[in-house]
Amino acid sequence: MGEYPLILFTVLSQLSAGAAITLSLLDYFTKIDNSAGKKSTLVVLVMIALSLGISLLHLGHPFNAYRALTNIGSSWLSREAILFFLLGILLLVYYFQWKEENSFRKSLGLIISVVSVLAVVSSGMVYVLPAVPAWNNFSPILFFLFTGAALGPMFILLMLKLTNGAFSRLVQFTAVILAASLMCFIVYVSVLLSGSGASASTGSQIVGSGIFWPRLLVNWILPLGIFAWLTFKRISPDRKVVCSLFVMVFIGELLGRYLFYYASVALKVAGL
Amino acid sequence: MGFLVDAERCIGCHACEMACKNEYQSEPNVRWRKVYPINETEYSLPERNHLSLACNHCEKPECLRVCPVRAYTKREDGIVIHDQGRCIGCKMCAMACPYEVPQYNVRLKKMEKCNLCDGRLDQGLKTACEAACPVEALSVIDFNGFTKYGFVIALPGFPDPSITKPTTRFIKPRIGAQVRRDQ
Repeated sequence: MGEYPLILFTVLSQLSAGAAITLSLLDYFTKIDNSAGKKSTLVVLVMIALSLGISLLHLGHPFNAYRALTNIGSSWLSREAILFFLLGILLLVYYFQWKEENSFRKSLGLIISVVSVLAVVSSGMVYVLPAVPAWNNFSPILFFLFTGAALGPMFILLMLKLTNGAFSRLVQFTAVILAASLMCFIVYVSVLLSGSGASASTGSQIVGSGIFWPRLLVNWILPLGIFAWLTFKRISPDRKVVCSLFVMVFIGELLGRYLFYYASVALKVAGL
Repeated sequence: MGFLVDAERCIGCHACEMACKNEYQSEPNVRWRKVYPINETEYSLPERNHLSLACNHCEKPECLRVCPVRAYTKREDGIVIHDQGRCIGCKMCAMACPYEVPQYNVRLKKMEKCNLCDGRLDQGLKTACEAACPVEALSVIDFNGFTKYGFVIALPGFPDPSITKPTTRFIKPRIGAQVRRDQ
């Protein structure tokens, strides 16, 4: 099965974390309809449970996965599992708080935001390994955070009926995140290619891969082109446009994660 | 404890690999010890040399750090032991080891690696690879009483030892003199 469960797990869990942060911050700073908020919380919760379930398929012994919670002292994989598990529990409590005006829910939302960021950071830290020079830096954390920040707000835009002001601000935020992630990706690949050994090989594998250009197109060029066109024509995006953008970026992130796992070159005995 | 690999003596016969597989009846895709050819261009004169490597029982083992289920432990004598009973087959250790030591057993769906024949050593026996080497290129050294000089911590092709501080030591191959006819 290779790394496919990990591709799905990381993208879905980061999407869920981004959506949880967006929802809780919107709830804190604006007014959200209770039933829509409750429904969105449930969907995010189901996505986290689904992503954790999918991650088990990567294991040789999925029924013993509970043991992965035992080495929190040094293993980032343990920390990641615990934080996503904790995020799920917090979202479950959050789900039952969707009644009238509720200050506890708003405070809980802030805690959920912090745990979501920590969970995504710990997901990135799992891959910060000296044995894989292309990963042994800030890039896994940065790109995982970008995934959550690009997909989460768009997902919540599709779940909630927001006022025009909040809607357009979230769309603008997504456009800025996509532009920033494209810039960082260009710098990252350039740095890899200018290096030597395993780093340069990883850069060559990324650029030489058949999905490099399709990824660039659906993850960044098309969505940013649509954003630019809408801005130029002064058209406010509607839900159909956001839905199309979400699908494009989601597919782009899946392709990007495939590249992340399959293009990485580890240190090897007797050279490359 | 660690391995001392004499690259001058090693003839690349793979007897150590086979002895290890025979001792532990490991799966066809699994080799706890591997013999790698050293790139002939690494030295001033082309030479056929080999690097016989198993687990390096590192001072700072990455496998032990990243394992989420505490399947790895380091004994007081330095041997890094992998407990298959705890392993869930997440392959994190394989990703983190710069020496490609932990390997996935497709039948058991768990990782496995060289435990420096801990059972044999505890009985006072030599490791299977050491006992099988026909040219005595392999030995196990105890760093507490190790006073021998002339070894190095890496040979060409051996990934950066500063990452995990492997305990394997090497004796460099002697490169022969180049004989040229007079002009």
